[in-house]
Amino acid sequence: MPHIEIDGRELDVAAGTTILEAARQLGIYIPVFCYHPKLSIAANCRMCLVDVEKQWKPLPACATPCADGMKIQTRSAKAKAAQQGVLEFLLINHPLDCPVCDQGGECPLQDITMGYANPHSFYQEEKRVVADKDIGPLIATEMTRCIQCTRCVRFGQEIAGVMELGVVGRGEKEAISTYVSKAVSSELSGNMIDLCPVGALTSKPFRYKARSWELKHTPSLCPHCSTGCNTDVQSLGKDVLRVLPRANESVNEEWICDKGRFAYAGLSAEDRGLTPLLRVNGRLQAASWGEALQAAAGGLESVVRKHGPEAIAALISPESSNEELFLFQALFRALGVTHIEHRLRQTDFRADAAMPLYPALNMSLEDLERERTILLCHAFPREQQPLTNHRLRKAALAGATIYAIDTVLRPFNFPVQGLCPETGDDLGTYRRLEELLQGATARAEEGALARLATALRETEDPLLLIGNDALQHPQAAELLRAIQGVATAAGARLGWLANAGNAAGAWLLGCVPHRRPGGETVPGQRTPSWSTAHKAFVLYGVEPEYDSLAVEAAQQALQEAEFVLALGHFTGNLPEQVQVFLPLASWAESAGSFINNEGRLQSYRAAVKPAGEARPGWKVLRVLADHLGVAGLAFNDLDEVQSAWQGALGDFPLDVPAFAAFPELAPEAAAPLPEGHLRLLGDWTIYTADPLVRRAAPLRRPAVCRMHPQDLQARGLGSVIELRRAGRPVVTLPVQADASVPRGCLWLPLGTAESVALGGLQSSCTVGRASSRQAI
Amino acid sequence: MYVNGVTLKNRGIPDSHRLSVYESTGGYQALRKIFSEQVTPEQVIAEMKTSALRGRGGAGFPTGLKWSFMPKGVSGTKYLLCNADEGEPGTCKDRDIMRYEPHRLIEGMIIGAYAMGARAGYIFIRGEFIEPIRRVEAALEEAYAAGFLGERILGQDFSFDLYVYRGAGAYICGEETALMEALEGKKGQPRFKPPFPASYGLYGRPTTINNVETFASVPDIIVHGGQWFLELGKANNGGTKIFSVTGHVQRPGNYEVPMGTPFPELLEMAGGLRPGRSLKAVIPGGTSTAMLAGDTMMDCTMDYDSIAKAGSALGAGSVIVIDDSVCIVRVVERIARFYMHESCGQCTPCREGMGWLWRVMHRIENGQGRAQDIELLLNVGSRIEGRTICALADGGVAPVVSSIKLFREEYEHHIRHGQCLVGQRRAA
Ligand SMILES: Cc1cc2nc3c(=O)[nH]c(=O)nc-3n(C[C@H](O)[C@H](O)[C@H](O)COP(=O)(O)O)c2cc1C
Ligand code: SF4
Ligand code: FES
Repeated sequence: MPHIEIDGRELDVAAGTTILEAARQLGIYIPVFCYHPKLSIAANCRMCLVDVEKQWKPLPACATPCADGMKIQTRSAKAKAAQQGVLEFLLINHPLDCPVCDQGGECPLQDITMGYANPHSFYQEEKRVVADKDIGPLIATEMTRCIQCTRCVRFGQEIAGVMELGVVGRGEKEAISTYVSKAVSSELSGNMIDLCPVGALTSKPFRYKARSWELKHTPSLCPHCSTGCNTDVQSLGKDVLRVLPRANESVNEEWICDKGRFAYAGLSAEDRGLTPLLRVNGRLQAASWGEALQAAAGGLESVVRKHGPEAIAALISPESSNEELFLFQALFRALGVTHIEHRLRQTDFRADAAMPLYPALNMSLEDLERERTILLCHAFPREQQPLTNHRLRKAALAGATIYAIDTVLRPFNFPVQGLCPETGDDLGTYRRLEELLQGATARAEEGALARLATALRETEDPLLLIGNDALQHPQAAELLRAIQGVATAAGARLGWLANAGNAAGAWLLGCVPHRRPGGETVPGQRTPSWSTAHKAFVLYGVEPEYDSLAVEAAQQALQEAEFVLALGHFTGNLPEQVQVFLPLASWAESAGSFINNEGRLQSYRAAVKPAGEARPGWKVLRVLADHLGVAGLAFNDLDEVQSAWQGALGDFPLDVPAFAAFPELAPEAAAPLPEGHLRLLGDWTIYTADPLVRRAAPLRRPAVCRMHPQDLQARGLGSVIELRRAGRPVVTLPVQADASVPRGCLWLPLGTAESVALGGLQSSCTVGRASSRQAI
Repeated sequence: MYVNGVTLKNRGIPDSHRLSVYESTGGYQALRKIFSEQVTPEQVIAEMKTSALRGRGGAGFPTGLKWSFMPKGVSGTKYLLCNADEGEPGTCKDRDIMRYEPHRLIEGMIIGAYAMGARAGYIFIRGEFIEPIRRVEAALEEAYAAGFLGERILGQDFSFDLYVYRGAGAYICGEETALMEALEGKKGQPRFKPPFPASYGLYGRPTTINNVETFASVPDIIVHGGQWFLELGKANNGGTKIFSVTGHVQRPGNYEVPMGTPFPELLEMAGGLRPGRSLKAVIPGGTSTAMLAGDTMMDCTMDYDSIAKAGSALGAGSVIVIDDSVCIVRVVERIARFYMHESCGQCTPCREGMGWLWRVMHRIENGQGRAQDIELLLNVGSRIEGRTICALADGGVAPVVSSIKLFREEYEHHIRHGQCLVGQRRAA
């Protein structure tokens, strides 16, 4: 253990500790630019130079390991001279345009200059000007301000796993750039804005909106996926102006994905619901809360009177808070409603009895990094749980082998051994894997599967993670059972990648038809779906056409309804059957709590006042309960709601069996496709996955569908195609060749206007060249 | 005197680059001796230490000591690299070794690989060296065909593969760790040390890197013994060394002479100064080394210690002779431009400072110098020196600071009168 001295203070440090780390242990500040604890050491900025006894040169604290007996001075004349020198060099070509720079006020270069620079500069030459680059809609560049610390470049390579920014040129012409003017597209790209110590990379959506010191900071959470990243919502007056990560080593470290960072832009979308609406003469018109609540209660009561409460389906978004979820089910269960549901993205509910208490990862996110062999079962966490994916990437970098079975393979940012059968028989793949694990002999063409079986058999305690695509599968029940079969045969642990921000809360708090809060079974409950006729729908934070897998069925079901009540944030995609709309405060405008994939309960506060007349969901539900004459929900504040749901739920385990017993599954023969048709596959993309993110303009990406290159060729298709389905409008989409799409299939991005027009995934379609307008 | 007797021994013989000629003049005898006399790797390294051979790439680090740093008993590949980037302005010695004695370099590397247990090696050759590249590649083919390279060399339990890598023309890629980055296919820029190449080199593996001339000295050391080599030169400065003498001499070229040869003798060999000229200054080791006054130089001997004592460095042995016909400001302005252009750009002081130095030099040279400019140059230089990852920046400061020290009046004249004190050239 080296014994060292820094500024006269002695300390023992672990071997390999750098001078900078040792200084930080002592609380001694050494200025840095290129150094970042999560990135490799570049030692290029030279800001951290310190004076080490017996060394003629000052040494970079960030990169120099402590040696026994070292005596280090951080503020000696020699150290100060080095720091002043470096700062002057950094500033000679820096534009010093702080008054118009968004980084002003939160700029390490500004701060360190104030603390360490010599106020006089000798530089009288012209300053360097660097051409700006357009690297996409999220990051604004002002490359003249760049100090070449390469943090962004290292972030791309080391954390995001894609090298989109690099260093070009040499000497004073050295510049950060994309390769041949490409846009940066990594889902983690926004973190480079935070990492950039100057104003070279700033947030484009936030550009010129406010000075950093004017902003109010509110500790918050990201509602967009089950990782549950901690965020800092920054606002000015009534507007959320940006969302930044809040460091929490156990959850998101210090990163967030671009969805979590930029989705706030959707809060001010044009179709934000600002007042209650009532349908009058076929048109939705602004109404008072009193009128609207009365109409809502009246509509529901009338359906209950005429058809009984079973005729109501109450659907809630799994991005709602625990408080909303609990009140929602309590209210509708009290009315006698049985179809309470958050799972719009599922069509096969036959395995409901086997579902776990909640979709739990069954381990901490940090522990994920230490896994050795992982099989991802129908999961694409890179888009679905980006910062959980980051832990998987760290595991991969640390030597883990990661396999993935899916219908269509998508681009991971770490090495993945992918298996996706060209025939599309993904279910058969799991079944065959189970057989191989049980000792069956592999056929010649099964090399990859056999290798996976061997890897699973040879690893002690491998891990299987079940992803979003498994629940979205048309034969989800069989698929899940087959996954369980593999796990049993391999002696593997199972974990779920929960498929929505608060899916865990939705399960635990009874927003499924067959379970009450805490998981108690509702006896005799047959699980209905869109295809079961209902006379009324309650839509809470969901847009049925954009959020369901079965768009056509949803549309039909809504058509047959007598009454539809929508509670939500936006009005643009309200089905035409909605009679009453109640505007809800967004997550940024209200307080609440979520349960993340690990089972971690986290709460957040309101950052800004609700937009317009919108009100926090828990208050709306409570008042609606009053109007419906439901007793026992008269809570006065959020704390009371919280105690109520915690009382109803009780303690819940962090480690839950991934499955209960499976019911008997009757074999279902898939209907054969009509001649010439393509089977539709698809998934929500990272930026179409919920109503808020769909409205964030900076995150909007063109929809692109995908087909197997040979199918494209065989049909003579170009880069844009027409998709046709009987009785629906023709949809035109760009198409990309993707050899992992099974033959005879077409992969469609969901949550898009195109997927809605086409009616979702339930059926098949024909395709043709866009120009010839002739279907094949 | 032992002139051109070690690494350029065969230069005058026709087809000296061919294996047959090399073998007929004793080539590959060192390697055969190692195998026939069962010389151990430790004995090879001991011999190298005795020889007091110091790295010929510029830093003059004792080669035997460097070789002894390679870890023993590690599993996995160890690499041996040859630095044939030869970018230092004034140097052209490695080029001649590769043109005329490629097998001597290859044999030296094979012996080095044997001594250090390296399994694979790369010769990183400056991209502009078309002819040397062809010659080395042809020599490698011959060596493979003759069983000196590849699996089980000469039937022994020792294998070594050697490849040529063509550089892409950046001076910085001659810096050993930048060279490794470039070999790995990345932007050539130096790594921070520690870790040193012996523990973390090419692809993160233990690696040793030496200059062409260093390797080419090895076969004779093995054949004749370290003591013989040491005695060719002087204590701590073993052997002979090639000096590339350029500038204002009548017969510029490569001269391989014993370490410790008096500078006047070397100057004489190179044809001496032009008639009627006097010696103004000498850059003794390439442009990265400090300029010395002509008089000082005439008292020096050509070895690491003597030149260091005089305040400069022997560097790669690139002796640039400057007579009284030129303006020193102009010389240094041109050198400063080189360093600005060649800085890799990663270290703040070098990236920003090299250009600053040049801009000030440039305006002085062009008659727009300001009164404070000399102090400014010294001041900027002092804030660059010793504060960067690699030695390029120090090398860029040295000519500026040393020339101001020696010829301050020329700078002052330039600034005051807007033109040269020496020479005909009027400033613009
Ligand atoms: C900027 C810079 C350029 C260099 N260029 C070369 C070169 O072209 N050739 C060379 O042999 N060494 C060069 N060196 C020195 C190498 O870094 C290294 O010291 C040398 O290759 C070691 O070999 P040696 O011990 O045999 O001298 C350079 C060093 C620096 C800092
Ligand atoms: S000193 Fe200059 S050339 Fe050397 S690493 Fe730093 S920037 Fe690159
Ligand atoms: S912080 Fe140490 S060199 Fe940049």
